[in-house]
Amino acid sequence: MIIFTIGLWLAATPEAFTQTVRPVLEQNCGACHSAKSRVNFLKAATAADIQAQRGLWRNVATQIRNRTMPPAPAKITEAERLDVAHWIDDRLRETACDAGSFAGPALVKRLNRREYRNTIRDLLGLDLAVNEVFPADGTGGEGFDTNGETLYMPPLLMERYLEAAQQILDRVIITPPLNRTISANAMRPDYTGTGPRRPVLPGDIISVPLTVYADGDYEVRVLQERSDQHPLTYTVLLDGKEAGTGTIPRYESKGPNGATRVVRVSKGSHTFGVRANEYPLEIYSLTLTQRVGEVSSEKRAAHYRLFQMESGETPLNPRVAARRLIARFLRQAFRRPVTDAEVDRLVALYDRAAVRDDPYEERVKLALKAVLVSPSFLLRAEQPSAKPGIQPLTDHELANRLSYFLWSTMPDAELASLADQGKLQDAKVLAAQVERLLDDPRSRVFANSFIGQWLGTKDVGGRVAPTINDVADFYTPEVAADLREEPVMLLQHIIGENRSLLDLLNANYTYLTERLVRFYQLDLPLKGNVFQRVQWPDDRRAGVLGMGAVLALTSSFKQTSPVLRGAWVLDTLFGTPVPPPPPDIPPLDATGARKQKITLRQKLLQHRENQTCATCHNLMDPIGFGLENFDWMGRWRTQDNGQPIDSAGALPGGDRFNGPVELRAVLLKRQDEFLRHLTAKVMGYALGRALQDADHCTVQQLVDTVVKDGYRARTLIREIALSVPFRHSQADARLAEPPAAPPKRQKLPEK
Amino acid sequence: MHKPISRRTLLRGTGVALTLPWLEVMAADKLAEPPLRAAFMFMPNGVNPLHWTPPGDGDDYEMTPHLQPLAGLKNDFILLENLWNKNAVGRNGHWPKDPIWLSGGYVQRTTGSDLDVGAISLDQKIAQHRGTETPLPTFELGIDSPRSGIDTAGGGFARIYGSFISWRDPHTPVPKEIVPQLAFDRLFRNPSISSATAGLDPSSPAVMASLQRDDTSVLDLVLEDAKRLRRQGSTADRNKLDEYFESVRSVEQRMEAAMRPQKRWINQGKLPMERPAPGIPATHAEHVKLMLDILLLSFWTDTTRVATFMFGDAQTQQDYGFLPGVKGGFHSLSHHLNEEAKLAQYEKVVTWHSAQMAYFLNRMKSIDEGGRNMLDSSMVLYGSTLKDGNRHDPENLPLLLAGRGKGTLRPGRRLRAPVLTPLCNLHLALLQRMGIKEDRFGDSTGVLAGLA
Repeated sequence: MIIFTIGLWLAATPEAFTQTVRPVLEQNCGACHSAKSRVNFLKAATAADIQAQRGLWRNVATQIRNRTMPPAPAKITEAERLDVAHWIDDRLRETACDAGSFAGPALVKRLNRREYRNTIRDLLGLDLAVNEVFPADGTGGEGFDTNGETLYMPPLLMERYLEAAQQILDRVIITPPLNRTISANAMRPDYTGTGPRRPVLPGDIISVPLTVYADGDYEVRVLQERSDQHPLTYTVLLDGKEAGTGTIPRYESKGPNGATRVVRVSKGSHTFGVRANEYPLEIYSLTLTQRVGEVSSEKRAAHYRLFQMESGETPLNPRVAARRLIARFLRQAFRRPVTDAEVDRLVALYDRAAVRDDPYEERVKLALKAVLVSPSFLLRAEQPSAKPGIQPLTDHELANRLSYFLWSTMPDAELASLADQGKLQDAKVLAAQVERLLDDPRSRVFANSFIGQWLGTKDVGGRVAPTINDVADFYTPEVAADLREEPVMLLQHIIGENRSLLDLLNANYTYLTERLVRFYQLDLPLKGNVFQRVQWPDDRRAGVLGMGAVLALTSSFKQTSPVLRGAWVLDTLFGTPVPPPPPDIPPLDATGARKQKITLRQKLLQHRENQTCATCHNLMDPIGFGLENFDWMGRWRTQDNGQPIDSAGALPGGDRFNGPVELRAVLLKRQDEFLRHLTAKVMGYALGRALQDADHCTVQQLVDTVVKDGYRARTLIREIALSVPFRHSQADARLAEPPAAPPKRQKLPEK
Repeated sequence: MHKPISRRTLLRGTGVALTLPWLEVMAADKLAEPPLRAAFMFMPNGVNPLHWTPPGDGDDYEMTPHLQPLAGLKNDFILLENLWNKNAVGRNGHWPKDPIWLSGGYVQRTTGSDLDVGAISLDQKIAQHRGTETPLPTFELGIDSPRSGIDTAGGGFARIYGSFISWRDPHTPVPKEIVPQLAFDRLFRNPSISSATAGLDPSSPAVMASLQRDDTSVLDLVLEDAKRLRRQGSTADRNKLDEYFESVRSVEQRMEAAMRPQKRWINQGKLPMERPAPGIPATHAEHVKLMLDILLLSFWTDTTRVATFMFGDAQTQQDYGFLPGVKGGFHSLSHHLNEEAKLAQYEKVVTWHSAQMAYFLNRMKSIDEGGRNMLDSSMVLYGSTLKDGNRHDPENLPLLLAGRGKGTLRPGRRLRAPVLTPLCNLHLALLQRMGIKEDRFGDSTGVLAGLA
């Protein structure tokens, strides 16, 4: 197997272990971590011995990189720290497949906000703005909001789910408006007189209990024998409290006279009453009518889709129809076959509402409400196999994984049907489905949420660039939105046209709007603010490194940061982060540079005279220097602080470059390392978990396949869908590797 | 589409006054005196130590620039000195510090697959014991939406660490409400009670039962589902099904608690407050003021007795350009390198926070609750997890404790604890005052002496 390294540090050869890595560790760690100690990684005398202690060695690399080890005062140099950490990482990656295949555990994770919203949309045809009511999702694992472990389910969210379920169902189900007339006879069964009227003496109350099914305004109409002497006044009582008075004028007409009063009532059981005021009343009846506006055609359509009947129509055998409806809805909402017992439990809720004579629609609503807050709807809960080892997922679990990976929503009818037929584990069928899902416009959601989170560009305009007066003429919230969109459009195009993933680094085209043309100060005859593909006249802005969103994201306020840009390239594009700065070193400030009339570059160079800082800054800063022609917003510039821009740089490996075009060429020498990191990221997004040591075997296999196939985007996505960890789970695998032993605490100063 | 009238519509315009009959009915058993409340007000990004800590070592002190806005309240708070969280020592500037402000735990470095802050936070600890006494066990408020991603440059911490000071357990943060309208509605909504509408008489058992029974039957059913799923699957990892199960149970418990008459404190009169507009307010200042008002209202209505508020998340880059002479984000300004021009801006931002605290404390003080003011019956902790925002140093944290704690605190002075006293010693003291009999909390070595 060929291993690609960024070439800046120690090659991952076995000899380097015995010659360099082990001696450094022996010298710095040997005093405590002797072969006899509990944490005895030095037991490994040769590189081959590492295989028996892989978890421990991953930990060694992490702790060394993170500076949690060795404890102060450490003699290890920065160069050694970097070399050792990278050597171990490379070695572990190189030998990952020696330990055999790995699948990861069955996953149990909640739908995130995007997935919930899309699923409700596909299930019920309703778009609910859940981002405004559900708390933001946490991200983690490989850095995405699909990461199961950080998708928490706090009680607050449970409350919101209950409310949302009610709101959703109220918005798609049309319950016929309440219109009930209760005769005075029924209200006063104790009255023995004859005739339809019942007398109510001043101060007396006649009342009736009624259940209303929706919050809203209700008309209370009192029908009263005509009065030929004086107007009659009465008070409407709601649950014993005054809710308004009505007057019946005298001689209104012959026969019974009515008067109407509107009261606002909440959902629930209430007592409606009428009290006679100064004169006795002779009441015929009381009518309660719900006031409703016009029902929209969308709502009628959504209602029909669910009930397969017009609103207001009642099936001949309501219970049978309800059971059928519930069973059908349950299958879709749970995204898997359901058992009769599961349906029966929900029909029991229907029955509960039927007992108290709720309208048909309300009975169904109660049952569906339970569906929308049930764990099988809110969570994607895969069942671990009872057998040990790597076992295939069920077809429905696989359909869910695929659909949420590429569409962030539930499987559609075709996927569901293939799963029902048990065909999805067939590699050819699965591969064809990947193509179909990618061809569908819904796959845009993947491009959008993946690249925005991977590059961090989704924060641009929100957290990253505050609105400020001096840029207001070219930078507006609309421009920020376009900047966020630019990388999305690029990835969408790459996937849509099945182009090389290396286009992400060096595409000589991009998508722009008229606003962006102005922002980038380009001379392009592009009109309108619909994105259009344009060819770059030269390569200075090729790929994501030329995009305003990335360049702004990696800048400080009103000044570029070669350090941040370099660190971003190493970490985000290549997955080779440099260690964090030693604690409590404040970031470099440019105001000093301004005072000394030197450029930021010159100030950074001064700073690198310190050997401790230099080890890492020699890696980061030159990359950032190559991008210095882009100002802090990502616009092209030729001067900084009155001095011409010097965008030359050299990497410790010897590569030299001047400006973004040459920098990009140097970075492209490491294209397979870029691909490996991108592969790990897409896999992390797809699986919704942090990748583990054992996953790197799959990553490397994927990389090999994609390289052979010309770096094509769809090959990567298809191969991930076909990979062992995507199609299988492993009952004995854990979600996370055992946590690192807590580092030794620093000794506290004496009090 | 016809817009159904939601509960929220019903609430709109009615303000708070209309909910009072409901409150009175619910509190069939009224408290004879106001309850003791605790609020924890977190400020990110530290202070300028020279502008916070007064010189000298006596009980009395001169107001420093950062404290100046609180000068009128000098007799209402204790200035706390020499407290710290030793588990924050020598680690990244923000991520391992903020989540342990109220717990003293040790934050594991992780990218998010095994979040662990080592301990439960003080507010949640109190809620474990006393949470069922009020409609909301605790109330978490804030300003920033949780941050996403991993801070690789900062040592590989998941950024969501910096977004929470309330932790239900070491692995589970409690989300904070940042939208004023949602926070406001939460005070007047109970899972079991649709809405407090004109005329509704929730004391009628028929009404209560009707309103409640549907949601509980729904929850009973889904709990059964969760149990069944749990039985089928079992993994060694913490299971999301358990989390689901506990959440449903907790919502049910709230319903049950609401069914029992809770002993509540009923304030006389009104505390006028309009229902806030939807969304995030246009300006930061307005946002903060609204959230503080809502927090106040939650105490006034006795909807909760424990609350947390985050003026901002760790490393917040909130734009303070609305303050004269200030340009740029808070976190950038905190790294001022002691350069005069930047330092001056940073100080303005920090001092602005003190002014907001002064507003909040003055409002508490102005509320009469049957002979004593609300601040008298409260304990309000305000401060940060760093001393010097530029250097991230964790020693001698900037903290003040306002209120009289119903006579258990003696404000109007400064309390100089021995150098490097665990902050958890203070937490333990507050925990005990909230009526919880524990003799340890976090890494406490004892109860902080000298508060009374």
